[in-house]
Amino acid sequence: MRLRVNGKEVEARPGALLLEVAEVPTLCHHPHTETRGLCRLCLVEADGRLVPACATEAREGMEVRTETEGLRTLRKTLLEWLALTTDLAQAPDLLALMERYGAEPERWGEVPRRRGREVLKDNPFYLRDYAKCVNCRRCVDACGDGIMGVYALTLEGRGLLAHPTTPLDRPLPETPCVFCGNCVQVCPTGALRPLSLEVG
Amino acid sequence: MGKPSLLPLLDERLPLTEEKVAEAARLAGVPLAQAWGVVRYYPRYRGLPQGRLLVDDPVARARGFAGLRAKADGTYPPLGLEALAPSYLRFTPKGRFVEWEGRLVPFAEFRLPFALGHGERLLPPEPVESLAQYRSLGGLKALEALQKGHLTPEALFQAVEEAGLLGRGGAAFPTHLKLRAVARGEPPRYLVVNADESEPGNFKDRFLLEHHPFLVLEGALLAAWAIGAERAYLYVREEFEAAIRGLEKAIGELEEAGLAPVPLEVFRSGGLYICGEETALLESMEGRRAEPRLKPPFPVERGLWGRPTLVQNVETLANLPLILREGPAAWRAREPKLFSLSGDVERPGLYELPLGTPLGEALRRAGGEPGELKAVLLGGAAGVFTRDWALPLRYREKLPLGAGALVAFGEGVDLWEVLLGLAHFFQEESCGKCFPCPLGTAVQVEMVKRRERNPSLVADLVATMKGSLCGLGQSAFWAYQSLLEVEGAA
Amino acid sequence: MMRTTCPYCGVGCQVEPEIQGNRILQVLAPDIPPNHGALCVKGRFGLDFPFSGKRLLYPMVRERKGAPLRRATWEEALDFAARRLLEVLGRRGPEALAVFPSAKTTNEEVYLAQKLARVLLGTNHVDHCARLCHSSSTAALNRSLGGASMTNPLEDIWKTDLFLVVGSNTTETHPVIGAMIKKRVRQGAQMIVVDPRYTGMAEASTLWLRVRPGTDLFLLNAIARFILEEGLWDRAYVEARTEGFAEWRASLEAYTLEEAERLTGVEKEKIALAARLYATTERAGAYWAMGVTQHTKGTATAQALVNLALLTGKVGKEGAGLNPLRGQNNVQGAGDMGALPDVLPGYWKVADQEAIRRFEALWATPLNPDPGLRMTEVYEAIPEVEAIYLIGEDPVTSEPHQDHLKAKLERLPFLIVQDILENETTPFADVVLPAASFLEKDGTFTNTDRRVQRVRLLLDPPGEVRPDWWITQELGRRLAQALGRPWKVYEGPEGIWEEIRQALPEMMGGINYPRLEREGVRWPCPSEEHPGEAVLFRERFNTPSGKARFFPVHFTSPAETPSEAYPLTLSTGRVLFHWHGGTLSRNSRLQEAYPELKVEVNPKDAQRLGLTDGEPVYVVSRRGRIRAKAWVTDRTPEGVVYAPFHFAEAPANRLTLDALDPISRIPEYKVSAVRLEKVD
Repeated sequence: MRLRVNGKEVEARPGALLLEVAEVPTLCHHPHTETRGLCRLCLVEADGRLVPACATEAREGMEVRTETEGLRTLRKTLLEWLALTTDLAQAPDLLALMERYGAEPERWGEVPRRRGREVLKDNPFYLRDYAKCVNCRRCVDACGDGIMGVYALTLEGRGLLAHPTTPLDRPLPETPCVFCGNCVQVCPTGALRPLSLEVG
Repeated sequence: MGKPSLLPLLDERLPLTEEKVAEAARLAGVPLAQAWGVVRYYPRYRGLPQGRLLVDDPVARARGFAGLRAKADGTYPPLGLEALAPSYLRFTPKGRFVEWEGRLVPFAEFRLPFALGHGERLLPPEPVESLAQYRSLGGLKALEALQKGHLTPEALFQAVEEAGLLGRGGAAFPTHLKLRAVARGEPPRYLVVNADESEPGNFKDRFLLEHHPFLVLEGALLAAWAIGAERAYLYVREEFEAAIRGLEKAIGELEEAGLAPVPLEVFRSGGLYICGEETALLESMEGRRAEPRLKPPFPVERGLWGRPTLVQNVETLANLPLILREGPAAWRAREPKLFSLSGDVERPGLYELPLGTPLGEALRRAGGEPGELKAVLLGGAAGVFTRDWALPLRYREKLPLGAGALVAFGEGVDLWEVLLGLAHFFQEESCGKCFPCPLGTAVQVEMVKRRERNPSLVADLVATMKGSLCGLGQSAFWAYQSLLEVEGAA
Repeated sequence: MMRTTCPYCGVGCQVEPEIQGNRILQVLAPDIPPNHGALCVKGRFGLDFPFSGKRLLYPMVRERKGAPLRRATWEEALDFAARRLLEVLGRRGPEALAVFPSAKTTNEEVYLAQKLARVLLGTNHVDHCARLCHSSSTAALNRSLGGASMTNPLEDIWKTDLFLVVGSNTTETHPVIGAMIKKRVRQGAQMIVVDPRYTGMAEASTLWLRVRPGTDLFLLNAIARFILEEGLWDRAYVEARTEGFAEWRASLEAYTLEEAERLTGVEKEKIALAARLYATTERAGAYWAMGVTQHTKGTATAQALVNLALLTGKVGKEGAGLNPLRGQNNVQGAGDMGALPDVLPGYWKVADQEAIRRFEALWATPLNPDPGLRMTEVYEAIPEVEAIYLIGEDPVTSEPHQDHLKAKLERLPFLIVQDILENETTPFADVVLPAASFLEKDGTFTNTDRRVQRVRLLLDPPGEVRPDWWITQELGRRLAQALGRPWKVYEGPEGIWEEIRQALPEMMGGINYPRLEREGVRWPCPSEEHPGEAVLFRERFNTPSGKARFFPVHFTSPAETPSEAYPLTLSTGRVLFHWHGGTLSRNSRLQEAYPELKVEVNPKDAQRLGLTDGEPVYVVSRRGRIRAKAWVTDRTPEGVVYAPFHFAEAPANRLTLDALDPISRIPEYKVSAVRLEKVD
């Protein structure tokens, strides 16, 4: 199967996601969780339509653009908004992307912060620091449908205030959590961190 | 249908305790995590505001919002009361009431005044309270034809196609295509009537449900039967308690008369704007947070519980009996559309007008004078401000018609105040699933507050929000963008 | 590369520990088989035991019984150990010596240790901890199919439409496999779980058969009988690929559904449903663990499962098969490498003429053709057995009937303990040899689905610690010198692996270190081009006739049944947070999450005793008593208490009895009679 990416012809296996044939930034997508299409950083223009590369299959003859002016603006702006609302200090990939897209967050002036949220330390293994959480849901899915089927994490609230929490907001040891740390591994922003990383 | 749905189980247990949530989760066969995510999502499980509440709709925003707000303990999202605005509600431990003509009317008894309706084909000459009355007004013809074997699904599809019926919920998708697509799918198939009218400025579905339930049900049954649905659900905005009562009574009468070829069931909505988005709606029916799904697959392929599902707006279905009764050609000659008119016109209300009626004429029908108006908000919150009085009100025009809301603002109205209300509305109603929408709606509120007119900043907001997952985020900036255009033109 | 293989269970998860100074910052998992990025709490947060203060840091010797252990140099300790072993060998002959290689050490180390026993000491008293876990399964699988391992790869989970899980608390003992199976069930597969306890698997099952402890065999035979009765068996398969069918069929007469219901406590409709599902689902895989094997009828129960799979044609097919979930990280490898009393590396029987020719040629030494004693028998044979070379094991915690075992060890003239951490057995040692942990050496482990995977040196060993292979090699060098026997000395594990390839070309010939760089390779893998066999026995079984054999097996009662004085049944096992004797997990961060023994008590039993959740309680058997915290839960059925055996200060194995399976010699860890006593 052949398609064109940014004017160049490329070969793709049937069923391949655009993500596999085009180089685009991603954030919420993870091969072992079922989260996809949320962060919109991987949006591309396919035959003139905006589609998430992580959730769209390549088709014969498709015309894909990954770096149009509009897409660059979208990524730059999204990254700026993330930086304004969320602590990205432990998200090196996002910081690199901000550099790449020339993000200048301050141009938006005052913007509400993600309500945050003191650091939660309620177990011997890892902490939850939701001031750093971009709400990509990879942790929720790793804990639930995606990998473990344990369902110790869910989401609280809506909109910008939404963030992961536990059933009944209980400390993790009082939930079905099995402390596999697969949520920690898939967290892209350091909102979930092993305590062993903390100094002291 | 897979398993018992979580939302009704939670509703039966209000007010909730942790034990009751756990019990509902167990009965629904879902993890406690899922139930908790649901409880922390929908307002009625999180806990509704109490006291005197101002309905925060665009009309209230236009009429000295701060003063109105000062007389209330809190606000409540638009409720289809724009033609009566400003309106106050009273939420107490005893129940929910509308303040109406100096009385507190319980939600279960409050219907939009019948006098608000102006039309003859979709709207009845009197409130329809019984099956016999509906029959006497010419109803049930199509349903009876079907029962006698005088109608085939294909004939119905054909008629709908010839009529050129487009979805009345706002997306204007050709109805026959959806009908046929679902009918082609593997059973079991479902019909879901989208009666979750929450778009500010719109009250047409509410009016139909409250005053003309049999018409809606006849349309639903025709569609459900034609697509071979195993069951038809009416997903009704949960605040429309009177409508729900009326529907349940009407369903009982239809079933008793043997006129329900497909089982009908009312499902109380999640009570959020996003629940009207068809996939978010399905998520809530399946007992999850009402968050839009990625499309494709579309509900016609994988809808409720993963089955082919027709999700169709109330008004769209209400047109099916009409098309079959009048014949597609006659129906098409004067395509009826319901318009919800409110704001600065003399006779706010629901107007049935042929599609294509110019905006100015529509306003004049309600006693509005375009020359005295600053602008009209067309479509609703997901709509645009315009002063294009010659604009024909029909689909696929240069401006989106939405579900047909027209909110008129007189010369004295500060449109930025109205816009701020809309911006707040979107911020409140953003589900938070994708990134551009919760971030963008929050940023937009700040921009509107400071009356930001910097074109490059607005353009970047627009470019980014266009990338949202669903229509909510993709349209949340329309009003902002259009206000700048109206200002520029003025 | 910072990648290695998790040292806990047999899943063999690939891990990438990030080490800084004397701590592990975090552990990530790469996206390769078998775990594809997933881990459990032990692999993720429990790998820090090498930094424990309880590490053995230098060799020690006890000059004579009664004297204290004193620090020694390697030279001294090894010389001393060799001298004492030679002395026993000279005086009493090979039958007085036993070597227990460790399923926690690498293939190379196990291979070398059993080679030392056979080539230098001339003894076949070689065994490892599988005696205590899956020896029943390997006995049944070996005699029926001619091979003892999972017949199907873990990837087949994604192709399986029905799981028959018997006596496996998979979500706690093989968590990553448990998660895979559960995900497959979420995708629509069915799962029948046979277990007295409401485990995570029972919770995720589509059909849970809550049998009374120790009655699985009856249930499985009844299922087989019902399948025959209903004509749902695979006649063509049975005819073409099996033997012994008629005799076996006749043996099932007594196993009616009615009788099964009476005995197992499971409604007969449920048993019939399970039978129909298993027989009629083509891709139905059986998975099992200690709930099947740790009984005096463990071999018979495993055999009943084998019979059932043969009857329905499930072996040699994708997405199906017979899949014992192996416990230790390298327990598959330890068996493969010949750490067993009756077989040499590659499962060649010690008495087999061809095997003797092959290994005598390779090792240039005459070999002892008589099978040796099994681990449980070796301890019984003390003091006829005078010397044991014990590697990486804590029998005081893991063997049954602890007081009896301690008495035996006290009478053992010479014990070498080679380990990484101090444990309950160290005080009995005459020589202590400090070994390197998994982080501090190179080598390979073989996981539960036969995948040979690399272990990599990521950290220099502390103190004077040396890798096990080096220690065994040095001890061997001394013995060989004294005995005048050949003993090859290697520079490192890769050289030893090359000898293994040479010994087992059909099995391991295609597997070499460069190939293992990227990811593990499954055996059998005869050539470097071969991808490694996924599904075993597709065309023929590894028996002389090429056919699989049915063996009739019959239900017997447990060795000890509840009585008036001991009215409850004690079942022992593991919990998610701990590993076996606790030597590793209790010296890691895991200890914090699960610091003390909790015994599961059914609410009804608790009520009778007036016991509340969290209250301290004594668990008492005919052999002793331990103190624990009561966890009142309906996870465990009425009449059954469940106790994990990880806690040296409250050892569950003080309570268990040393009744053994007649074939595998596995102890009956899953059934002993106890009572609970309130603590005043």
